[in-house]
Amino acid sequence: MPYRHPRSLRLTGIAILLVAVGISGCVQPVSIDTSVPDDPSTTTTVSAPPTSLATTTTVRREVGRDVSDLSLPDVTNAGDPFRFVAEDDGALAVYFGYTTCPDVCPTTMADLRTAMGLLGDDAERVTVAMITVDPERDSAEVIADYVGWFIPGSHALRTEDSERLETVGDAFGADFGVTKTPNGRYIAFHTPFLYGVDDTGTIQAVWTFGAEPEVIAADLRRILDS
Amino acid sequence: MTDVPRIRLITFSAAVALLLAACTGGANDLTIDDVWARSTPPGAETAAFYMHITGGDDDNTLLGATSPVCGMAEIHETTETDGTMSMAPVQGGIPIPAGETVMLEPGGFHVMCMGLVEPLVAGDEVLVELQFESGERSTVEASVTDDEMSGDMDHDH
Repeated sequence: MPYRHPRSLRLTGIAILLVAVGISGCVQPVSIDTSVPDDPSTTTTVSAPPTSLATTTTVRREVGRDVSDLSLPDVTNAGDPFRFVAEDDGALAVYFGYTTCPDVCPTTMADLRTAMGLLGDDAERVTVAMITVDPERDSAEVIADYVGWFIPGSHALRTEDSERLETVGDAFGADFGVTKTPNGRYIAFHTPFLYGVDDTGTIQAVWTFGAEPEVIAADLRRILDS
Repeated sequence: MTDVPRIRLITFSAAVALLLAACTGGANDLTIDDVWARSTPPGAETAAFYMHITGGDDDNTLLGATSPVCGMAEIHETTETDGTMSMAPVQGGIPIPAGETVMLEPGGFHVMCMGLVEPLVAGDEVLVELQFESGERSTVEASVTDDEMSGDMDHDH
């Protein structure tokens, strides 16, 4: 039998989690306890035999959170504060990543790009913001070029104020860190989630790594139509 | 970087590929398919190569890789721990059991390219040499695409 590669396991886990949670709508706020502090047990590490990968949106307790009070410097807009609120009747996609990430980040940004393509003209109402979790290596220019190459017009958010970055991360339920080993190598980790925010500044969707562009597009459209 | 060095590099690479293809045939019956890399933004320092490797008659291990577009290449794996993903070199390489297909795909195993010499542009073909425990060295061409390449390679990109 074929080797079981990690992504299949993870996606399968997500599929099983979805079945277990029994959701039908992808971006509806769910009644998972929002009062508890971040608990990784609700994420998607589930081992199971591979099956088909129908729906890969995951549901986490961050859905329903209000992030409208937060902002980060937008280096694609002279460092002005960027608030996590979509434009009126729009949707905002937010991603935490870093530019030297060769695998997960480009995959997610490319999937988002594909999803925006599926939206046609409605993509004009979707704003994209990527937050670098590695401001030491990602200069303002580097992160701005990166997001603009994947999706022109996107916003690159960067701060060297680690507390401010963490505050935003906590609000989204995003965890990340970059460490440098004694031999000069960098080790980075991050939650691989893409977030969909509506025009009230409420998180309406959390897509985990590997979410199909079709699913992302459908959820974005639901946010646009809400 | 101008286009001229790129064209030279690709031409040179293609020539090397032909030579290597002529030199390495069929020692171990390893099959390597669907080799691709995602296009990279200007200035990108890293890239990843993905592929499907099917083992031959004997168990084998993918130990390392090189590519003319990478200052250094390593065999890496992205793993998920407590909801966060991180990436690290695969200690001891990736086992390729006899007759089984191992997928190097986004979010899992990949050939990590560091010190990327020039951006990978959709439509380019990039050479990657893979080193196996058996001593076999296989040079493959990675197709550069904007979007993920499916297992079905029949369609054009």
